[in-house]
Amino acid sequence: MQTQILQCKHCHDDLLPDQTDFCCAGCQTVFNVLSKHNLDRYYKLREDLVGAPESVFPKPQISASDLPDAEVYLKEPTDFYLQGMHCAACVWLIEQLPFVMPEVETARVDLSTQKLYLTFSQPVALAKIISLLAHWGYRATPLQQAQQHEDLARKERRLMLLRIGVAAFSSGNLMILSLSFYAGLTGAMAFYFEILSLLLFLPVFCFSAWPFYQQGLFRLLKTGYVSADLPIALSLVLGTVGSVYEMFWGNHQLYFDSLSMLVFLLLCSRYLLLRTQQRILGQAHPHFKLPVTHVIRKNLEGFTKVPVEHIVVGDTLRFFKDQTFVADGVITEGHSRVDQSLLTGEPYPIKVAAGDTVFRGTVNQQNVVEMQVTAINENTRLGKILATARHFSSQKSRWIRAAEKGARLLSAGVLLASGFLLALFWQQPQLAFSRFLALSIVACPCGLALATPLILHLSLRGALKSGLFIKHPNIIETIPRLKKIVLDKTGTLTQGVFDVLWSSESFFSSEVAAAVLALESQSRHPVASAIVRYIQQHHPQTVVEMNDLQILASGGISGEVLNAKNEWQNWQIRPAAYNPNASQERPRLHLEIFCEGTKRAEIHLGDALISGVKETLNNLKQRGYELFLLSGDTRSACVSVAQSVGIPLSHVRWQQSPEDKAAFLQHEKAMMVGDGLNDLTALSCAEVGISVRGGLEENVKQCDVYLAEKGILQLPLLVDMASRTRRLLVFTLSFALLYNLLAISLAICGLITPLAAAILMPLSAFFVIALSVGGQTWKF
Amino acid sequence: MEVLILFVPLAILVSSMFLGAFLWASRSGQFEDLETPAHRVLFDELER
Repeated sequence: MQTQILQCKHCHDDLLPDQTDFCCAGCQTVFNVLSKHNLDRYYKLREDLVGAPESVFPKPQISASDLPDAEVYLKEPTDFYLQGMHCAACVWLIEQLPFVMPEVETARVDLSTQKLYLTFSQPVALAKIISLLAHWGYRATPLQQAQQHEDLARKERRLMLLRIGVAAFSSGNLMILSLSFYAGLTGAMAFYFEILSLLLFLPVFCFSAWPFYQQGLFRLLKTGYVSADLPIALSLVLGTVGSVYEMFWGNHQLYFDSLSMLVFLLLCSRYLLLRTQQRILGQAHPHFKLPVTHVIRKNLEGFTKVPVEHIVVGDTLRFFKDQTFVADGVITEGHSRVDQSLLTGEPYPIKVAAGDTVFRGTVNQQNVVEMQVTAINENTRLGKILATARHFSSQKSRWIRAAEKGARLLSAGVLLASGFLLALFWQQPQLAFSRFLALSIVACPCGLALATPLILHLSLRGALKSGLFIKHPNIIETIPRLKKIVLDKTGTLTQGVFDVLWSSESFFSSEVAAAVLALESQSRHPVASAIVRYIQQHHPQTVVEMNDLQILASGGISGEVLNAKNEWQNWQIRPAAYNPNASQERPRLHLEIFCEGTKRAEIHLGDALISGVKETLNNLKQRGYELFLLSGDTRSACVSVAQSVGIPLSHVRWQQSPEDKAAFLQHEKAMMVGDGLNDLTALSCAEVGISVRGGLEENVKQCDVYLAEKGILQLPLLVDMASRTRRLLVFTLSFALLYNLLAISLAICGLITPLAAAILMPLSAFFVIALSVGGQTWKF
Repeated sequence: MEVLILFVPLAILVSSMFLGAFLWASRSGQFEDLETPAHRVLFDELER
């Protein structure tokens, strides 16, 4: 008989035997909604664009409590942050919104930033939009708080484009006109063209070049600070003045074409830079995003739903099961369990009751509670942590400061040299002026000043996307220099939890597993959970009734279970007696299972190695890293782990206290990889402290790197990234320096005309920026 | 040579039109998102 595994029509997940067509109510709803609106074209598109049945698509997750109050209406164009989009077919679907909802005039999706931009023909309730999108399986969050910021950023971009457009217009026309001069035009027609050139240049001089005056000249006048834009600003002003003089009293040597070309090309580079910077600053870090828009607040009449932004200190809020707390507060009513793992990393929920404090970002796991707000936004514990993180990452690294200083020195040097040239050739003012212009234009200190922060911050950004949280650009510089890695054992190389490693053959035969399951299901102890997990994974079965659970004095549990003949039998699960002849690789916990006094089965539990650790460490060894294992655990445990992963005994230290570990690290220059919870002192003593577990709070404060997603398996990626960044930085800076040396020498010798300079310099600036941005993705 | 009196203003006019087109494109947000339009091209025409 042919058994074909059916798939859900919407998300392509495998269907359970009793399901037809859909795996859940959510998928069925989406399918029906789409069909009703004649949008089932979506499925065909999805297949064309993404690929057929093998891919499983995310299921829609809609929660009624996420819908906002019906009172908020939208009229102005609004941006939304959209979650749940996974392909181009989703783009198509969402952009059909105007056909489904007439009040929406246009809908535009931006896949790369996951934003949705809506404009409206009539006011429409926010709730209506969000619920429709939710029914389709997408979660939309209006960027209310960030809307202003978004608008300003957009305005800035548009203004820059306008400047570029004007500069392009002027340069193009100016170059056509100046061609005639180069061809030898003289006389009345020449004068007419000169006037025209001046007129065409004015928009560039007054409007397009404005940013250079701002950052070059005004800054100098206000703060005495020599910036990389100063030579450009000066060239522009002096070049214009000189050209006007030439027009009326001189030899008709004009520079309008060169100057406008300079402005146009430089603005293009700056635009690329602006977009990159806005993207770095603008994108919310998905890891820290709280997906809540509205909460339930208590007032005199009862409870109402209010937007999160309206909460103030002193409000009483109500939180249901599985809701995230949006502010710090004190419980006033109810009791529950709270999952604090975001902050502390503790996986076991803690009990809270009236009078206890709860924190923003933690999750209410059990019952409805009411709490009174004590702190919001930046003043919450989470807010302070994030502020610390941002503070660190925005500090300038040594490299950035050095690069900026270098750029400033270069600018000042170039200006002095140009002035010197001017003085040198004072008897031939035309020649002098031409050389002066060429030199001050051709030098490119902006390459130095821009490339370094750009490369470092883009690198940090890229790391973040891969789940590597690097606190400070300095760390990227330090990592390639270290060749020793110190590893913690528990939680770093091993899972850190109890897991069943092995069970005897008799374990799954007859009623042994069923009896064990019956007894262990009653307990919340990690050992019990591990055993229950193990049984359900390998031979899933239902829990049968048991009786008289007792905890034995020597450790272990006992109870009574009915057997096939309906008789109560006594079962015991006990730790095995210590066997001095046992091999060195003794598991942590060795349990024996007895029925009515006879041993029936055995089971071994221990802390299993994280899968993939051995390969990861081999990878690192191949790259030439020296690995050490330091742990507070017993000799046998450490040795067995070291042997499994291939760390030589000479590099293993056991029964280390935190002070011992710290002492070792102060002695050796090394990277330390450890559990963020237990190894904080040690991690802060290491040259680079890499944490693989634990909550946000301590990690952000004490550790240099936090490997959030896959822990130690990402270590090769981290070192790879750091060396790549370093190589890119060295390459880019070398190029910038080399260019400057060459170009300045040639200009001093008079081999470069101002026009040539006006083209060369922006090209090199553009190349440096393109290298910085593109180098992130190329194989460097 | 006098034909230049016609050509030069004409050249400026044509380039102003290009500038105008550029500004219109910028204002209607065509330069905001450079990635999604690549996907949009692949959608077929709908019979609406």
